[in-house]
Amino acid sequence: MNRWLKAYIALAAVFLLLPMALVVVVSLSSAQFVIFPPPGFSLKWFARVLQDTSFMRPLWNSIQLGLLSTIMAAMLAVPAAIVLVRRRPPGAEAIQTFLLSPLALPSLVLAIALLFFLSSIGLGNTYIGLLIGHVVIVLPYLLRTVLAVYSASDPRIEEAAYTLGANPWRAFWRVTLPAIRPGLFAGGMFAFLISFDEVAVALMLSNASNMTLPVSILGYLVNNYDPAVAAISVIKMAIVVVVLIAVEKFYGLGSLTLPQRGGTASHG
Amino acid sequence: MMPNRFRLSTLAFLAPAVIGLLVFFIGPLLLNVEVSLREQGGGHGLAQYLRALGDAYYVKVWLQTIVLAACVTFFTLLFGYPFAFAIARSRGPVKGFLIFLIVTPLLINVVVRTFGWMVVLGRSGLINGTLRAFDLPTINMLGGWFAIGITLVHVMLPFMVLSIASALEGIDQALEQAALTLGAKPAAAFRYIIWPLSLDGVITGTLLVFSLSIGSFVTVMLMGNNRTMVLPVMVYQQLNLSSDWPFAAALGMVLLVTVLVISGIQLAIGRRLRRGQA
Amino acid sequence: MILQSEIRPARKRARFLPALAIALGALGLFAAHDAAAQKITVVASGGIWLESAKQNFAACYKERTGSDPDILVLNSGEVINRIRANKENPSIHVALLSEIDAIRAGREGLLDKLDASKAPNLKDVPEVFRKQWDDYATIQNFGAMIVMYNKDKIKEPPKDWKTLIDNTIAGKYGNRVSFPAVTMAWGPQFTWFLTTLYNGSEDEVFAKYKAMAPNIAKYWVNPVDAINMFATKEVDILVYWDGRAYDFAKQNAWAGAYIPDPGAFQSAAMLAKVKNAPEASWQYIDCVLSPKAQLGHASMIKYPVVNSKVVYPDDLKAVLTPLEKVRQPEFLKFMDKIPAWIERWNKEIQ
Repeated sequence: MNRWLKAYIALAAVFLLLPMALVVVVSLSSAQFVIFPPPGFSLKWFARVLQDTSFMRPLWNSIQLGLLSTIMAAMLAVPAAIVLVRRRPPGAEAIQTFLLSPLALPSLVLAIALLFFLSSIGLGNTYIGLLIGHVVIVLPYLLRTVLAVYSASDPRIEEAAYTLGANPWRAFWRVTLPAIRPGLFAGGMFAFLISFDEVAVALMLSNASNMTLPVSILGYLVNNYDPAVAAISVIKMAIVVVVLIAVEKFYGLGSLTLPQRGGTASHG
Repeated sequence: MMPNRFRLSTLAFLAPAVIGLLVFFIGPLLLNVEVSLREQGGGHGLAQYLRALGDAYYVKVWLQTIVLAACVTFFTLLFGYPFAFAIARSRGPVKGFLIFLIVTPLLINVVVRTFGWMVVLGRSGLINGTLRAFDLPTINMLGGWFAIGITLVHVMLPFMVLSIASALEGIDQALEQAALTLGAKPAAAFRYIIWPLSLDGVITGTLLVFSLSIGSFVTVMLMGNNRTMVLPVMVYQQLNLSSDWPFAAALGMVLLVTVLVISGIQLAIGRRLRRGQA
Repeated sequence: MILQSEIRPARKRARFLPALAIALGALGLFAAHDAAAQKITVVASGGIWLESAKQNFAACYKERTGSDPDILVLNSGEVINRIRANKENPSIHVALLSEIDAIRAGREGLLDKLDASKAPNLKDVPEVFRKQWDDYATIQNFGAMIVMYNKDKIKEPPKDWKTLIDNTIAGKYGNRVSFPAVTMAWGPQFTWFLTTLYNGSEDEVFAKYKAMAPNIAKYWVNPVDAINMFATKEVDILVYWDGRAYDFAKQNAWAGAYIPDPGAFQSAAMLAKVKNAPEASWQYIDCVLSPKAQLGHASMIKYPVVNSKVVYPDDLKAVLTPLEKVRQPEFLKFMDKIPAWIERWNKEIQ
């Protein structure tokens, strides 16, 4: 990297981290209100939030929902991506566009339509309903990244595996999956983070036992503004940071982005 | 070209995703279309659409919505590209750190993040506090397009940067080196080698960022004022204050069609650019 | 080679199906989990309101029935849409709605009329708290919109609303004033209240909104954003909820809060029984309206409650807006105008 690029990255880092740093500072405030700079520091808001089931249970629910919807979306996206890239069935582009179309509908409109639709088939305000809503929302992100990475990989490796007598399941695990894994990771990360912070659909579809963290934060913020919200945000951030560090450790975040040369990749 | 087996397996692989979305996305979408066609008397018709498109004010809001999303997309691309370049050109822990840095905006709840920006931009916030400390005039940055734009660009950067970075990684650095060695100026190397090859990532990034920012309402509602009205905020008002679902549904359809049409145009431009280089 | 790659993956399908089956099975378990929960579901606002609902209402309900209710934290708009979506088998049993959504829900046949034979404490709730809702809902607690000001900057706060508005138009406070927007959840009520000060003329009120606009830092939509502007001294005058205004003034010596003449409008949270909800819902409603739970609620949230048997201790009474000072909006007269008001607001106030 040359000097200019380094200077630019430093500036960008300040820009990217500024709001996050402020939230951390506010979460350590001793004041009752969010005042900046804080008059003093204390850990009381963390103590308060960690004891509060109306934050901790939704936090756990959100992690669960984020993971489940990401896994479900991956199970739908991977086979679809495989045939769309390798076999190019007639209308492949149209199918791709269709699979990515939930991106285009504002989440508020999707949320209320899903509420009435799912309720009419008996799934309103159930766990499955909420999960379905989140899968619909995160599917495009996963599909797009998997498509991008897979279409860049060399089809001849798979052919070689078959020629050498690998059975399809083995070829999938040993050849195809490693080829798409970076896309799965990047897409999975987007999917998880989006589900983790999604509020419009969760507001309509959740119930008391599966309420998500963004819903409870929003409910709290309507009538209260104290550093507790900052504290729960920091806890949430810390969890994601730990996950990212683990990914870095075992896999290397660097490999989350990978070559992407194929033409189909961007037909979203 | 292949017998039935080929088509069957293709179908089997595509079916879960396609059927899933047909039921759980197109189903609600059709319901939404039906609702948007409801008229006050109880019949069905285009009244809601005529109301939305026949009024100069709503048309203006619709255009504002598009312009906001386009500007956010443009600036995200402008500021994101060098960052993506840095990611693509670095290795090891530095790269891991840069990727971590770029996803940080996604780690904070949207409301909390927006409040963070209010502290930065507010009249007694970080920037104005600093200006005042140096006896410089302060600027009121809250409550307008600038504040909305900066907040949106911040959270859209990860989508743009990661899309472009993965495209840039694919470029053979030897190609660039060769061009430079042969005497090409860096600008020319960028113009003729790097930029064309990164187009795929740019198109992906702009598509994601455009459709995400055209639908955002929390940020616009908190950071904006009456002048900065956009369609998603109107949808919110219709649903929560007027309890007018049909009109909200119609506005939602207008947004959906807008995004689909503009995405189509983006793709077509991308295809032409690519063909131009081939 | 082409043949190879196109035929072979077909066999993968066979291995994918079991995985899908397992996933669907897991989903089935969740369904069973949902069905097992046969509790009543009620609504509360977040934070201290949720705490109060747990400590006062849910505790009483548990004492009577032996089970806990599920408490959802939702806004009125989500509550009414959820009830509309599940009329036969509602997912919310005791609703907490805005005044206008409560009237809408009553009209749409989504609610049961409140019945004193099923919730006896209703007898002690004066009729004024139920009448406009045709007994489909009752006020649970109410508040008022008053004025907060920065004592360091504003030495003599205007005594009445009209002076405040005229001074703002004249630029007496710079542009460091914030009023609620018509598009705020209780904005239409505030607008109605202002019409009562200006001979019932909405044109005049909108003219005032428009004239004030250059000197208004922000017409606020989000209450948290509003109190934040005041707390960071971005504005010196803020029109805001009474309970939280007094509370803020108590904690910050530089802040003051008062009711301008001739009083304020009443804003309320409406309690209602959803049609087709289980009978146990009446127990919860009766609990909410019981004198003990009502007093406990009032002392936690600092807003007045409705059971006439409640006697407030003096220190609490000092921060509660008295009923004589508030005017209940005539919802039936203006609720159908709300969409037009919102449209007018969006178009005119730029």
